[in-house]
Amino acid sequence: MMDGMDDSPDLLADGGERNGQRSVSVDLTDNSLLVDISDALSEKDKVKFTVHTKTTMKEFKGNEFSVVRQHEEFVWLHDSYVDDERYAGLLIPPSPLRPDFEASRDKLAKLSEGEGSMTKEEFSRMKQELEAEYLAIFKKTVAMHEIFLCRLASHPTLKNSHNFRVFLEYEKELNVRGKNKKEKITGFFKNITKTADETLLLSGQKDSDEFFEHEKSFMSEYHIRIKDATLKIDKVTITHKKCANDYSHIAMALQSLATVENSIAVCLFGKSLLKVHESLEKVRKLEARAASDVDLKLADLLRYYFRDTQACKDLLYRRARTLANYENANKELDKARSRGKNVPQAEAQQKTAREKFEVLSEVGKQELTEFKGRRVTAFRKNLIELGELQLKHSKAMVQVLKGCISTIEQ
Amino acid sequence: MSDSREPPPFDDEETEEEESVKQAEVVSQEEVVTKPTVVTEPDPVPVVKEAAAPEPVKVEPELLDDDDDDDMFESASASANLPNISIEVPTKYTDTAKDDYSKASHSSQYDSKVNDITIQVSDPHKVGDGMNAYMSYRVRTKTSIPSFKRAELAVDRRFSDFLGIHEKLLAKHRHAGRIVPPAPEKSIVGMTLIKMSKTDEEAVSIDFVEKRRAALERYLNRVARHNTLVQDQDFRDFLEQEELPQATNTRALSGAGVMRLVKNVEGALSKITIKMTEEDSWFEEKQQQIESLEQQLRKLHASFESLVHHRKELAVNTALFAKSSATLGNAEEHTALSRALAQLSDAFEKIENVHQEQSNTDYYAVAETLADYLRIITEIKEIFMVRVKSWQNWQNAEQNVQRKKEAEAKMQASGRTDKIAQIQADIKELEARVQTCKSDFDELSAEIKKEMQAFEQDRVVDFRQLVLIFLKNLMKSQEQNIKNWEAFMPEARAIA
Repeated sequence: MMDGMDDSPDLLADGGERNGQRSVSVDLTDNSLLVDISDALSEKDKVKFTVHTKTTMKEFKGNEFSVVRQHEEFVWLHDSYVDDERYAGLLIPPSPLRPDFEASRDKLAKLSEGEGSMTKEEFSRMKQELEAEYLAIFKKTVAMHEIFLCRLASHPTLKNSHNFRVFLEYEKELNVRGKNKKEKITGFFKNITKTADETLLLSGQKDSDEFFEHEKSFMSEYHIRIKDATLKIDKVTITHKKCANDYSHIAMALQSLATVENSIAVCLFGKSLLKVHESLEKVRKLEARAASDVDLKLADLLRYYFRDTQACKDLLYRRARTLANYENANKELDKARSRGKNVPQAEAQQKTAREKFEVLSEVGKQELTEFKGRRVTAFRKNLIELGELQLKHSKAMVQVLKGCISTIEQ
Repeated sequence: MSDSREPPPFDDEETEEEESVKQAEVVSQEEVVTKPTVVTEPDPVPVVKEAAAPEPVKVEPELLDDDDDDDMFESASASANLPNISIEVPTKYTDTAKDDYSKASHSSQYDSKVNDITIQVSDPHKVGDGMNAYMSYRVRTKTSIPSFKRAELAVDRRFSDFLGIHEKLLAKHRHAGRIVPPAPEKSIVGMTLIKMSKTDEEAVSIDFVEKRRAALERYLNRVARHNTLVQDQDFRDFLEQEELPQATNTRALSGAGVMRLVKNVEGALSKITIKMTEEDSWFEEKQQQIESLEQQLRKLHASFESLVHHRKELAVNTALFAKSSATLGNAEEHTALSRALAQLSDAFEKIENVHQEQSNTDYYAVAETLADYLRIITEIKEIFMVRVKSWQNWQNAEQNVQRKKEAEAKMQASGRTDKIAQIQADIKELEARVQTCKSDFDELSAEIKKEMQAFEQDRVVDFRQLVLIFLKNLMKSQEQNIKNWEAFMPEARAIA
């Protein structure tokens, strides 16, 4: 019990922060702008992140500074990139997911309601477990927000955004409000038209560029499948955690049974049961850790790349859109020429459309190629770590069980 | 062939309740099926063919059964006052799991045996069609106990035969304070499934059949482990005789069934009303121990059932992810990564099997044994009640003596001497009755103590075995997982 109390949150902390970072490899060769989240504070219904920046870039006022930011401000930053046409050819890193503490808060509330019906030991154990869970989610949230900023900071173009600088530097709140109703509705319609447009463009548009033609079909396929895999692995980890939890119920029941057996005292069977109780508690911890490592190494990896492929799809859509614009400009130019009217104007328009399209294609191609490399590296890293951790946990469990079995058999 | 107290085989349905028979059949109680297995081999025991001759005799089987006071308690035997602790196992167990289980159950049953007898229940097969169909099991016995005819025996038995032998054992031994192991429970759902199954193979493949087979095997071995019960003539007949008379009063909707129900209510009432002043602190302590033991076992059983349930769910989810990661691997354009994902899918598929096997062993070897023990504890409580009842008989006898003595005193005071001789004779008789009741009670108490001692020894042996099975199984699973992940590692490292 005691060692569980101090080592488990620690391990989770270790796992949470480091692992989150590992699920996406961020190229840190460029050290001109380094961002990290040095601290985070969970308040009632919001989390306050302390964003710490170290830089040698002249655009910033100082070399090192910290600001406090909330989740909404991260979302705002993400949207500001998406809405900016200059970044249309770039892969915008997916915005971090909203911190979700509802589930564990509910559980905590339920726990305090049921306090009377539980034994003191059971209660403190459950509470401890919940706290560890809460902590794990918290660390994961922080890690996700940090990754988002790190990816921006390490990108040669994205790091130069004015909004990003404001986000990192401006000491007061950015005063970004959530979307109001009207904006939400327009956003909703925009989304529908975008989806319709997207399917039309991504499937119907003829593309002379083989690279993009291939990327389009690959991304839409891959996106669907990775989404499915993410859902499925989440279910696996949830049920796996339930199983681990059952071990602890069994262990508890064995402990009480041991008390009964001791009172009957036919032989030293009660002692054996206590040993089983102890070992089972250890096994539970290992099993739970094995489950949460699958969560961190595999589920989070899949989830991140599910979101990242969405970003890829968005990029492909933006390119398809500019291609359509370029084709329209061509038609307009043809029309203008045949009528002999407004030719220079149409020519200029066609030229900008073509330039836009060409630049976007070139940058996009580079981004997508980089994405592929990044994906393979991240998968490799995580899959190896996944296997190693599972092996480690299984071996530890075998060790514990072996010891327990030989004690009982004696 | 059997105990003289047993009623002659007859058909109580067609004689007593002609109206309700049809209904009863529709409800598909598994025992409604009345055609016995006709074996061509000639047999000394008369084969009862119910359909052939509806006898006009009207006899209540329960009335013939046993006419002493304990009857009331005996009635609770096949009743439904046990909590329903059965769960359905939705997925099919693999063959390996089955082997595992039988190994497990064998060791748990036989390692500790005092009596050299092992009983196997095997080859469940469907007999008959439609509503008349039932499952028959092969019961094989190996023993060196001299009272058995041969060292190896094999007979075919159906479920109602098991209930029949259980009823007989209960009738004979419960009132003497012996713990008769509870028989497996009836399952209308399971039986309906079997009746609906088209072929023999289909019927055998139903999980319920394996569950019941295992339960029957555990049941017989538990009876065989008991020093007195194993010597019971009926039990020996059950293992030896080719042909048994049809068990009649195990039917839920028969006249006997209704009688049982009535008696259960009576039994429940008397349980509330009797207040015993316990003079033996041993019993007081035991009763408390049994209560808390039951409470803890119930908790343990519930957590095991929940573990089995969750692990089944986990196996299903793992299989789904294995499929999903395989399709993701197909979509992946990077060759090495695609291969690694395929290997990942493979690893998860194998992990699914591990979960599946593990949950089967946990269920058959652990959860089911715990369920058995919970039912044994219920039986023990019944036996404690038998003792309370016996104590009450004794007390009543004492009171009767007291009353007579008071009457005698009154008579002497009033000088009416004419009836005194009669009353003194009565007193003598009653005092003799008190003595019998007291010695009955003392004998019963002594027997229960002996039984409890055996129970405690058996329990420790069984639980130790159970814990070991669980732990070893857990360890085996982890060892398999190690192999699975080791097979995965080279592919993960090969991603470049």
